[in-house]
Amino acid sequence: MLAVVVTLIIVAAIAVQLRVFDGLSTPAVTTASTIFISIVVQALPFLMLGVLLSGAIVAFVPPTLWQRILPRNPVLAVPVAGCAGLALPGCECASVPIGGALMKSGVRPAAALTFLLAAPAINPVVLASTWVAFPGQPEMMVARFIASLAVSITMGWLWLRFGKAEWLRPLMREHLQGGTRFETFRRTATHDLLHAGGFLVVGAGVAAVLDAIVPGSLMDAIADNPLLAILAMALLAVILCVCSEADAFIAASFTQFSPTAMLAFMVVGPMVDLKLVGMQAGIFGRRFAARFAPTTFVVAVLMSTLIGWWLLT
Amino acid sequence: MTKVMQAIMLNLLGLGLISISVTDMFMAYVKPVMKIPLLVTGTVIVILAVLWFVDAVRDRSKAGRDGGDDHAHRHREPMSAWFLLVPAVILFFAAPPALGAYDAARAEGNSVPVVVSEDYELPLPEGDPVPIRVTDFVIRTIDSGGATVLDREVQLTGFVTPDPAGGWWLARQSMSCCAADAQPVRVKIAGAPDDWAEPAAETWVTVTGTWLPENLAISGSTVPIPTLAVSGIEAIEPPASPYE
Repeated sequence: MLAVVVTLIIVAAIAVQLRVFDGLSTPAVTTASTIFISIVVQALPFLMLGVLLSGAIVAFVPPTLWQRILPRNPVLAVPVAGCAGLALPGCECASVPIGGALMKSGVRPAAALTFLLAAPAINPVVLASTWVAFPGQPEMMVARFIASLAVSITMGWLWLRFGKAEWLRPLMREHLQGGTRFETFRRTATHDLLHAGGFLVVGAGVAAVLDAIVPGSLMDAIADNPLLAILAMALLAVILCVCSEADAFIAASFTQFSPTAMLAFMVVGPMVDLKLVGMQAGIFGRRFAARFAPTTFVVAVLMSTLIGWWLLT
Repeated sequence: MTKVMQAIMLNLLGLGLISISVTDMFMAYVKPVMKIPLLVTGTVIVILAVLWFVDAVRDRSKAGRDGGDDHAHRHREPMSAWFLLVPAVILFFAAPPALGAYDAARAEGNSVPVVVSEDYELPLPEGDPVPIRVTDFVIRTIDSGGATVLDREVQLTGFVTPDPAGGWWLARQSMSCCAADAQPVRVKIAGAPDDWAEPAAETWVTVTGTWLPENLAISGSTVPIPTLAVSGIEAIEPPASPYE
């Protein structure tokens, strides 16, 4: 194995010397490559914050704390976990490992998943940026808050009713438990970084390729049909993988789309995008991600349409 | 995949982040404010990787003592960590440049977020010419019928993007978070001297000129591209942070 990697790196170094990469660098390839690296580079500091917090939760926070904070009744615990999302000023890259850590320390999966979906969508930083991106339209921020919270809680309740524990990869790893708390902390963090980081790369790669080949003129044609427009903006959020702290500005720039379609973009983006699905697969397993991500997408689109129809028309 | 391999992958990735942070190459991808976060992230990844490597060596020697029961192999991790090699290798050997003329020419018009704020209603600062951002200039040509830029000499900095229909645009990428959300902003250059009739794409220039007032209407997602009648063009070194 080691020999393979060393060989690969030597091959890459020789390729640089022979200017092989120059031959590959058609403008389209370079653009896709820039976008790929940008998503990875932008996400890694936030992912790092997430895995460090995740390690800290597992190693230092006593599981009894969560039992004291969250209501015993799981049906009530879900909305409480959703509102707790207000307290984590981060974006979606941090929330996936944190969701995993909460489960490891005994929080019910339904509540942990609700927190995972809510935190990147309704935290103060994201709401503030939405406020700034839509000047004179505070209802956009309100709609985003209500719709995102509603989707998170709905998903938590759906998990309570239909979710199966065997879809989740076994989360407790004995070998991550070290002799000291610090050992447990750093091993959990490294483990999460390896899993989520690897899949982050896959998601970013797919996003970059799609971004480079989907023509902008296609969007204008779609914008005229109100329902198709909502679906198109939701799909675009999945493909673009924009950070939740910046997505309001992007949504606002699609001026040919209805406010409801922009809302769908901002509700879907922090919950389902290619890099997130990748990281969810890395932390919770592929069987989980294959069910959770499409369901979240559908619920998010329906909820955005409903809230948009109520508040934005 | 063994722990040793994972440690190597992480190490490469961490070193890659440190290297683009130290060399300022990171500004081709994200905002300048990310310098310290990237440096810290890279360093933490390297520390975690080294400790993970020590774990692996310890596991191995322990397995040896336990009589051949290869402890490390019982906890095989999935292959996903292999993917970390991709960004690491790209960062080290083929770090791509900032988004430039190819991407800027792809869009049909300008796609600047139409942020209508009080600031754009205020008169431009004193000075002749007055240096402003390309994004601000474009927004000002639309806001209040372009009153604040009418008959003012402005100075814009950006890169050359050839217009397939002839002539060229001065372009800049406007970024709010990372290059994945960057949106090109362009200004059509009119009245360029002959030696600037067809400059090479990606050439960085500072142009001085005045707006050619037109009735610009927003159509669809696109903000119209304003035209600048130039009085001076000067080639410059590419700025450290190519985005606005």
